[in-house]
Amino acid sequence: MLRIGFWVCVAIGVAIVVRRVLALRRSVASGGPPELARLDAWFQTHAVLTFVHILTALAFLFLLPLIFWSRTRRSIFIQRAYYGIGAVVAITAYAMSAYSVGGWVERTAVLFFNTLFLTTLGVSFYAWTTGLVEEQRRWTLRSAATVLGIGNGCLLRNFAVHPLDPATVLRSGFLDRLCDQCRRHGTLAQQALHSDKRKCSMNAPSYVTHKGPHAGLLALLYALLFWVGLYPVTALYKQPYWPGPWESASVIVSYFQNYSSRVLFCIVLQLGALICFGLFAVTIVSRLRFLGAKGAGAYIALLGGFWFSRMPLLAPWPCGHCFTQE
Amino acid sequence: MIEHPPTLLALYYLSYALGGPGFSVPMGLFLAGVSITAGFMKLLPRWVVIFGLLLALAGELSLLHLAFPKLLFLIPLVRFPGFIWLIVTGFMLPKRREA
Repeated sequence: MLRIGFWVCVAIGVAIVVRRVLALRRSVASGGPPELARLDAWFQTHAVLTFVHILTALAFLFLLPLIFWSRTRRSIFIQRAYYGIGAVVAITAYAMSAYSVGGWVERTAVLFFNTLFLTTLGVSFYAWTTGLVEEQRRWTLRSAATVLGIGNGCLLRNFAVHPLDPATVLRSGFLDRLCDQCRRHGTLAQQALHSDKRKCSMNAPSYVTHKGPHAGLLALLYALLFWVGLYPVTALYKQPYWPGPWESASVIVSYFQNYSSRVLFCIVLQLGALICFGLFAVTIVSRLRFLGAKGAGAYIALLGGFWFSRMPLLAPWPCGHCFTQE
Repeated sequence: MIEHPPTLLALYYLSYALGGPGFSVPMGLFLAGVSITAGFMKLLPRWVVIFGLLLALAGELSLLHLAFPKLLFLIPLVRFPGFIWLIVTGFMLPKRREA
């Protein structure tokens, strides 16, 4: 019975992903209840993040049977993929919760259950790294149950946004979406199709999209490069760490003389991070202008962005370059 | 350069100054510029705008750290929560407008 339930949950999860991919690939105003169209439009405005989330979730769903199957569950590749992809799914879910369709009610649910999933996944990972096989299996099962619960919760979201009867929801939410709706209508009533199309094109708002790199991903990359670059010069890696200005001159000098490779690694990644920040700042300012900003605020932001991305480079870079000689 | 500790130290202190207030002041300008513009145009939720303005204020005040060393805490206060603000803003700022 549990096995059947497991497969049903996996199938529902896959169906949700397929449905969302289909909805993202078509235009917003393609029929169906207005609430559902609004839900689809909501996801389309954040298409990149939604795609990253649902496609990694799909990969994770495919991994779920493998992590429990006796022939594959000991595979290091499967286990690494399970933890890695699981972490990406959780992080993108946090990012998506920033614009929850259902407001704070949904956001709270996502934050709670996503944190629960991340915690169970983390404990399972810890058990795996420390060789506690039973613990790992128990917590992996918990993390899988949590993620399947979240997946099925997404199904309920589709029902919750519009107060229609279940039969209408099933038809408009799934059957009509999976099939080409216009063609279905066309076979039944050709004239109605033309009048509906005219109505659709008159009512549907047309949008223009800002062209440029994804600002959210740039910000994530900036943060990632910054933190990875910082790691080797902090106490998290090894003692001694980057000396503070309160240290004596001899301590500072000997640190840079003896640990030049750490310093260089840090500076290279910080440079990469600052490039990402510069691109982020330009993209954000460009987008503000695109969205209609006419005041000085956007240019003040641009000034800050340029200043920020250039100034810190002036000193550390020549330092690190000179310190490359061991 | 390694043979010249005074030069090395000078570069170190310069990098510290530019990575401290040299970081937080322009970061504050950036945060303020985006937050105020997005706030007036209602492009971001109010909590993101207020959060950005608070960070911007801390960033500008961190310049005083040069005169009052006790205000050093303002620099990490801008830097680390600033990551959250940047990521949230990057994902939440609308990408489309009506033609």
